[in-house]
Amino acid sequence: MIAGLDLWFWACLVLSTLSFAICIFQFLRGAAPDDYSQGSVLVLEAFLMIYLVGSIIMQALTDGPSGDWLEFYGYLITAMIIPAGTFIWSLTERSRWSTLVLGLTGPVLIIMLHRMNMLWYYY
Amino acid sequence: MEQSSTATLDKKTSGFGRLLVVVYAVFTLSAGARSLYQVIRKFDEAPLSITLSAISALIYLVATIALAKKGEGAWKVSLGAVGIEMAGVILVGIFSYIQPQHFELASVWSHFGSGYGYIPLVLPMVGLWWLLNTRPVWVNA
Repeated sequence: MIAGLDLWFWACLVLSTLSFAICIFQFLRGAAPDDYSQGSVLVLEAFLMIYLVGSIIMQALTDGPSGDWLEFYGYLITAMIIPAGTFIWSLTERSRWSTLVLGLTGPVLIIMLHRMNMLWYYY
Repeated sequence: MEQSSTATLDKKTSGFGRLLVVVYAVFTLSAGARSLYQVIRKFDEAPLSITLSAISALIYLVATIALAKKGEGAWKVSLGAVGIEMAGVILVGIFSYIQPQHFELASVWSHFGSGYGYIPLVLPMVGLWWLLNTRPVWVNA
């Protein structure tokens, strides 16, 4: 726990910030989605899958979220749709705008994981 | 008529318009998921804010689809949906300050969307600006 937030959150913050930086850099270069921007979003999706498995293990070993478990997993499933959605978007739309769309994934996930940390530890 | 105005209408769904569609899609998803959860778990606590949350999710959905589609009809539906969204965020924002007892649970629009970084307030402004910039040329006008 750092500043009241767990390592899941901080790992997400690092990965999401990296992904955001890569996508913005590629967008400013005028690049269509490529291995770097798409790859960074796939890393985020993989992270969320690990987080889901990790959460279920944490749920089994501890008392689970102090808030409502349904709300926590609702957030997690919703979060998992976002990188999947922006990635599919980037496959169909091959323009620089699509790279910016990929870049939005990271900031959205940071906000959602912050809220999920609140639900797990404080509510 | 439909055919001749297609070229100008395409502007709405290209470039920046695509980005707008995605932002609306994210809001549809988050407002929709949140209101679904609230209807399941907390409806009795704050029926008004939860009903408003559900309505706002529906308006985001209509706006997302209309913004993504090409054609004159889609432009009009977009303008209607984004207009209602603008009015909704202002009215709900005002009422949540002067009658806080009716807004125990935060909805997307209460307090002008402060829980969502005021994006719900800025989004319809950007949406209206974009729609008026991509207004279709009326062939018969």
